[in-house]
Amino acid sequence: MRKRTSRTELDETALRPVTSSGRGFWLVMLPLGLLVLAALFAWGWQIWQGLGSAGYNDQAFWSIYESNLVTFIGVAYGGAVVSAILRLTRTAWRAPITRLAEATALFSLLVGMMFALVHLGRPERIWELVTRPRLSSPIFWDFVAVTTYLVATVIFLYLPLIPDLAALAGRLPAGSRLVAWYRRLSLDWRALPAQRRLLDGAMAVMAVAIIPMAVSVHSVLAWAFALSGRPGWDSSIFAPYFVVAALYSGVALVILVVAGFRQGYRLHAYIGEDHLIHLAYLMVVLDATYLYFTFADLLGEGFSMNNSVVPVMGQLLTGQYAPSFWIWAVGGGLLPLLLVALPWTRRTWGIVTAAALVVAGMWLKRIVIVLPAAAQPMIAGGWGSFHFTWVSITISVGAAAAIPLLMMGFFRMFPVLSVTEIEELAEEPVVRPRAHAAFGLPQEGDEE
Amino acid sequence: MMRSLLFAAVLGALLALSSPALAAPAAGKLTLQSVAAIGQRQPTVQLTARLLGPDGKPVGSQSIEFFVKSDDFGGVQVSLGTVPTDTGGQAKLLYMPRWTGTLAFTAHLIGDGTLAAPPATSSYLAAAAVPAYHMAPAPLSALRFGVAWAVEALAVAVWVMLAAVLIRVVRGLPRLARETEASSHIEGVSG
Repeated sequence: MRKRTSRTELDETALRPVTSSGRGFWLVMLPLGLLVLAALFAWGWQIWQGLGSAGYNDQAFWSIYESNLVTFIGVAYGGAVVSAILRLTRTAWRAPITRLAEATALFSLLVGMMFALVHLGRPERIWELVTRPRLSSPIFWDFVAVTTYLVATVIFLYLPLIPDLAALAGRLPAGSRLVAWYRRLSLDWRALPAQRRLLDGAMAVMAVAIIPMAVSVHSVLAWAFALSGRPGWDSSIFAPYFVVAALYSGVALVILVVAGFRQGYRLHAYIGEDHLIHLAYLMVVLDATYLYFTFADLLGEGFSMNNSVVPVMGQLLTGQYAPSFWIWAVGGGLLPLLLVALPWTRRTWGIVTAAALVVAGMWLKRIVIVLPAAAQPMIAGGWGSFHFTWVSITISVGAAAAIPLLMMGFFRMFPVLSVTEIEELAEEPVVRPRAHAAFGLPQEGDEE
Repeated sequence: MMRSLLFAAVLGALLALSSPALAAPAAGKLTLQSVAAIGQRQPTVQLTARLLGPDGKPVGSQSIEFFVKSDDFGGVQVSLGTVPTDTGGQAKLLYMPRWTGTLAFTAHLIGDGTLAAPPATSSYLAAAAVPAYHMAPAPLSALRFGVAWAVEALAVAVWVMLAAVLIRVVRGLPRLARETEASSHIEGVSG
């Protein structure tokens, strides 16, 4: 059981990254920053040399960047929906992790959106989505859905920050340049009952609204594939399949982020192993659902033995993409399930390992969704092939590094914990479900 | 050796004299006319090339290739087809203009090499055209853009909702603080 902490300790923990950054902070930021700079250089090189430098060709026209786009926007979806569901169900243990989940959603979405630009050989033409929209194109609706979701995610992150900003403005040194910004952004928050009602109402509206918005984003993303009519993508379950995949990988990333910040920012007093276990349960439910969807998708296509689908299925299950597919099935599907299901691996290390396997495995799964269907010959000739190049790898690694970089930069200015929410929930009586004991979770009075 | 060389020279001379391809082609005359075709449902141009021999008489069974100059791809000559001349020396081709404006047609004599004639040109002012490319059937085309507009209206409604939530918070919180401050001030004064 985590020990109860005082308000002063809570403030100190939440404010520590804002008021002072230790050497460890810069030791992490520096390599992350270098990776992002390397990615920007590689992108510049790609614009100069063309998409061929990233391994693209006529027969592999969609590949790693689409996989990255789906992966990063997917994890963004997971972060926001986890937070929204925890808020709507008024889950008592949510308070220390909602801000991390919401920030994960925002920054992975920003990075994911960048891949729409990176994929374009002529990125300056992105404006033609606005100036020359084609209403029947899923790409246009993707653009509409993602930008709407971005605005919603920013509001969803901002609203719970308001009380904390007001509290922080009073606790930071008066000369601090952040104080003026905190005061402005806190909207004269005085914790009045009427203000609390207004803010709670707005947060409830946002928590409800962001779930269908997130579903729409990933559905539209799936339709960009499914409506193409290309064998391998032309599947009626692609939209819910993508939505579940997004939730699954999103919860896994939230686990990694929560575990990482818990360790790096010394938040053990507020985020315990039980938080990770709760999130892990959510992850394995989604894992099982995703495995079922995969089975249903493959069974439907494989059983019908449609001539146009058979070559794709062959490449995926026994051909050149089979190693990637089966690595995902075992590493990204079954192993995480076991790591969380077995009591002796249901510890922090086991859950973090499972989450890391899920994030990496789901990226690989997106590759095997995108590439075989794109590379199959539709008219004549042999199969296309995509070769990873230093350009596409550097951009992808840099993008992955950008998420923790942006999050650490954000939490250099804003509190990493939702201080007001933690306090409010600490005052409420804690009701633990019976399942808590049945699954061997820590109980009141247990020593951690 | 000498006999072999002599034999080869004689054989070569005989072959050269007997081959009509190596003989200089006779000078013919090719003309081209382009007029609007009558009785066609789509806007159509009737191209008529006429080939005359050196004696001014029509020449039949000679291939004529027709071209139109395209503004695309840097102004290339696009082949429209090859038609043999009839007994009246005429080769006719019906062409549906792909764009409006002045069209520049050219007819080239391909023939069998017995006749040579410089290309003939003709221009035609097309007031109507038939586009070369047709849009593929749009998804849900039976519903036309009704679905797209409905979804667009939904997207606009979501944006309005987001703006309303934000405006309500941004304006409401400071207002509530001011009202509370004012009421506590009044209470303080009256107290």
